[in-house]
Amino acid sequence: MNEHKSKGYAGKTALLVEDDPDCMEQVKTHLENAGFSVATAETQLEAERLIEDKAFDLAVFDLMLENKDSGFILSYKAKKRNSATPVILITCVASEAGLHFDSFEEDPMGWVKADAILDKQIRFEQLDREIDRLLLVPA
Amino acid sequence: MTLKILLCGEAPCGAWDAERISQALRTAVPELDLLDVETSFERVQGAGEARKASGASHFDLALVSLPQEGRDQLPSLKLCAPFVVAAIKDASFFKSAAAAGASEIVCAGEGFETRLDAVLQSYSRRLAIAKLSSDIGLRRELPFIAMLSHELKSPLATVEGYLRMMEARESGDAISNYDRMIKRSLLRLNAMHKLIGDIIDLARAESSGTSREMTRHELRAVCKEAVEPLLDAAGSRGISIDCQAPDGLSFNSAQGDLRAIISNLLSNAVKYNRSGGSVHLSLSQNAGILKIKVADTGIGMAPEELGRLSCEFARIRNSDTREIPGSGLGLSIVRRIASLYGGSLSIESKRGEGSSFIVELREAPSGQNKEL
Repeated sequence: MNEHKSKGYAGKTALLVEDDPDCMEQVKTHLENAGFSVATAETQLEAERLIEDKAFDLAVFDLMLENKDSGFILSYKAKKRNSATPVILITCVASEAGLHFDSFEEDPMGWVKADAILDKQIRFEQLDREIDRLLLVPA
Repeated sequence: MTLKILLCGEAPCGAWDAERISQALRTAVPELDLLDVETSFERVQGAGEARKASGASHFDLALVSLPQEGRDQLPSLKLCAPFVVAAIKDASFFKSAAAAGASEIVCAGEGFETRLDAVLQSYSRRLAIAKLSSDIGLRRELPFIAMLSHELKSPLATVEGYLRMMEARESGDAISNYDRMIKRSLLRLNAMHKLIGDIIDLARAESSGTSREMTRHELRAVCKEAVEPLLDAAGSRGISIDCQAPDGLSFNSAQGDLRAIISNLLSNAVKYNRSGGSVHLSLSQNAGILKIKVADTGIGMAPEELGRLSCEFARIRNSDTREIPGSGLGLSIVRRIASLYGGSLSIESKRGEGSSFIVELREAPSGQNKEL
């Protein structure tokens, strides 16, 4: 078994929302290897129920679920539940839909509540870096 | 050329008046008279009826007005057409309309008609250009490209993900530990092959304005060609497929069109069927209209699921369909080909009981090279 370097995420919870079963399995495995206890949902509706129930230490949402903007809606609701919860959106359509997000750029309307947006051709090292940054783990 | 407009609810000042709206459209594009453009209207009440109507037919534009207490309906207003909402002066109503995907929002109050006219005029020229240029249509702009990108990139991303996990030996050194990842990767790549085939079929059907050679096709042979590739998949689940077509029935069409229609409908009928179920394909012709009907004993669809089927890449996702692969383009292909023949696709379905898909096609005179 590949030993995943622990970042002290044991005891932390993550909410993963993804309707692609393979992507779900891959990201869930990676988060669990990092120590997170992972709750999952396949639809926006399921995720909204989980968000209502409890706040999570980390949220990872697919952008397009049963709605094309499900990820944005879930980001908003997760932040409303707990503004400190870091939210990462993963999507295949960022550039095609004209979505050019810089996670450090303040969007003028304040609509996008995600803290990071990653392409779905996800490299787990990049996901790890974002998680570390958002959970303020020292390098 | 007809611009189809859906009117929902009762607009302020009676603004959803067909004659008035037609006039507003012509004001922006006076050439509409020269181009033989007509406007047709369908009226519904409430978001539910609007959603159902936009799911059943293609509309170029929808004009929606809901009362203040109707704001709760806005999140469910998933229309497959650009739509304009006549809003009351209420911030939360405005936000709800924006969140529901409204293309434009026009607030009621003094000057409403003038503001509405300005919005209609901005749409009319775009609609006319899109129709005239034989482009794929206003409602298929960027969202189609974004969805196509999503559908093409997703399987590649997941296969790459599994390969990286294998490369990193995430589950140890034994190859047997990766059997499931390998199986899933092959499944996703196979689905991608099908998607690319569907995209080519859709692109071919979309190339209207290109002369296509029409030849006579014998329907029983076409049905056999369409059924053959599905026999293994159907047989493995005990699903029977039977076909009824009158002896000698034939139809004048472009190469591949009839096969594409019947294949897509049969494929769905098998995929969404129960083990031990049945699929019934029947063909008939009357007064130059060919009717193709595919009925199944499958899982069926609820009314709100039915309403979503008119959108590209629409797949009904629920606990019954989660594991069923598909590109979501099959019905778009069927609908588009049917429209080339002045025909239509209609769907009847009941959740838990099954579905019937009926395509009607009008035949071009024999021997004609049809400019479609």
